[in-house]
Amino acid sequence: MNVAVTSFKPAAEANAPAAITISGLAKSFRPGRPVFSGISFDIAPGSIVALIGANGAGKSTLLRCIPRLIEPDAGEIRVLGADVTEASRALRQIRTKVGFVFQKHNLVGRLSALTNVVHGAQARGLGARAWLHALAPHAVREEAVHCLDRVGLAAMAAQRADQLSGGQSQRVAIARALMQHPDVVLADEPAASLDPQAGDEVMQLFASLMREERKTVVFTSHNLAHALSFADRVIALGGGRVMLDSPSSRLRESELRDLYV
Amino acid sequence: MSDRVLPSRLGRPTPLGFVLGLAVVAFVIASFTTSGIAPDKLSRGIPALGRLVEQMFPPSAERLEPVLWSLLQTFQMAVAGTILGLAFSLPLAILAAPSLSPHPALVWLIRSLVALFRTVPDLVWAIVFVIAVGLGPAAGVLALMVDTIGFAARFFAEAMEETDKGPREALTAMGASRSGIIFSSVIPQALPSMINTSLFSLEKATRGSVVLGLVGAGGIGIELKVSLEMFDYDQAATIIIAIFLLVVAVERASTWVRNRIL
Repeated sequence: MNVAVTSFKPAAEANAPAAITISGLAKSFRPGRPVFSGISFDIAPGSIVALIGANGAGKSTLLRCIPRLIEPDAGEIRVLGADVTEASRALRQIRTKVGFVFQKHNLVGRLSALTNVVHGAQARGLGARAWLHALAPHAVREEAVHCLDRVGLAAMAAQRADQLSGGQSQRVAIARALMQHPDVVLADEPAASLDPQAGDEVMQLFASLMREERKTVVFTSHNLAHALSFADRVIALGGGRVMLDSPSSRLRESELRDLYV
Repeated sequence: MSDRVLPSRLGRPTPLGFVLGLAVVAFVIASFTTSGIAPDKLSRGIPALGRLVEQMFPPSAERLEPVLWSLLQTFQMAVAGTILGLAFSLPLAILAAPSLSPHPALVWLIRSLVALFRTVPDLVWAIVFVIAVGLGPAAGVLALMVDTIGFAARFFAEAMEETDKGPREALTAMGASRSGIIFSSVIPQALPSMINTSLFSLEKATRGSVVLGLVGAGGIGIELKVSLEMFDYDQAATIIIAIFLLVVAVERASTWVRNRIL
């Protein structure tokens, strides 16, 4: 390994409280074989961070630990100042502020694209009115169509989700995340299940919408070009720890490739 | 010379396997002996059956109108019992599905209750409800309701458990409520299977409702019982044909709906 471990502290952190703070995080699925341990970093509000690493490095596990979709074994996670690790009843409230875009989009296939986007409003306490677009108030339906329009799919609002292509499905998942009005968006390899062209288009759209909305974003990726093009900062995991933490502008793809050796 | 050995077609039984096999064969033979199925009995029964069929034809249309009213009542009992059963099955299925239930003890409790509903035959439930609410269709509807719960709640729970966990995870991640997750992710995915189960429940209840009258729980069964006891076999034939037509019509309609929706 010829890449020096660096630790990047964005200038913004000096003034604004971090959107996400991770301290001493550890997780293992089998005793004595930690996926990672002692992971610590802060993420500044409005920044886009790429989390990279080889298969099994723990990128997805770390991302899922943030809203506690996976329970960490040790450490502390703070999102927008709230302690996620200690939260019990408050956890749902914290999650409403965290959007999540999954690799396999996780849409309800039998429902329309519009209803899937309306589901995002469940994070805003709409209850049963966000179960189906037919039950939703006019303003929510309008907003959902607007979200679909922003991802270029307004014309397909009535289409069943399982009739959409992979790229279209991922766009609907992004629209659903927008509908949630989150402050933080986590994306687990959002382009990994798509062909290269669709993957590039989805990442381009995702990054530009997130910048427009000034969301704090953490995305995992195996695509180093995506990490360098769309992120302000790259964090690499390997051997159960942070191997590299640097602004993307200071990195070259060949340098990152060495991390996979 | 190769040292390959062709394996025997049947494995050599273990001593325990051999004894168990013998016990099963002995039990099957004993079952036939105990139930009194014998060739001489069958040879005597077939001519008697022939005489019965002879007396049934031509079927009598003398009491056709009351028979048709009873048939309608029977179908209405089936519809009411099925709807009530399905309405109770949905919440029970949610509580019986391990990944949706609030507590594992509740899963065990509800599954046991549903198993009890399923294992006790509908005719026995009809007797229980005749004792509880008296003779008439109400007892039949309650019996069909319990029978439907025993069938549908189990299959609803299984359909819910088999749904893709991805959309559920997406809704969990955004802080959706438990009911939100169930009604916007789990039920829409399980719906085709649930509709299928509901249609089978209606078919099953229609068949079941026919015999409930035999124990006084309303419907056409009582007409059939009276006709047979009064030796009015031609009238009994009319009732049997009417029952046959109703069951076939419901099954056909159910298949049509299933093909249209699913």
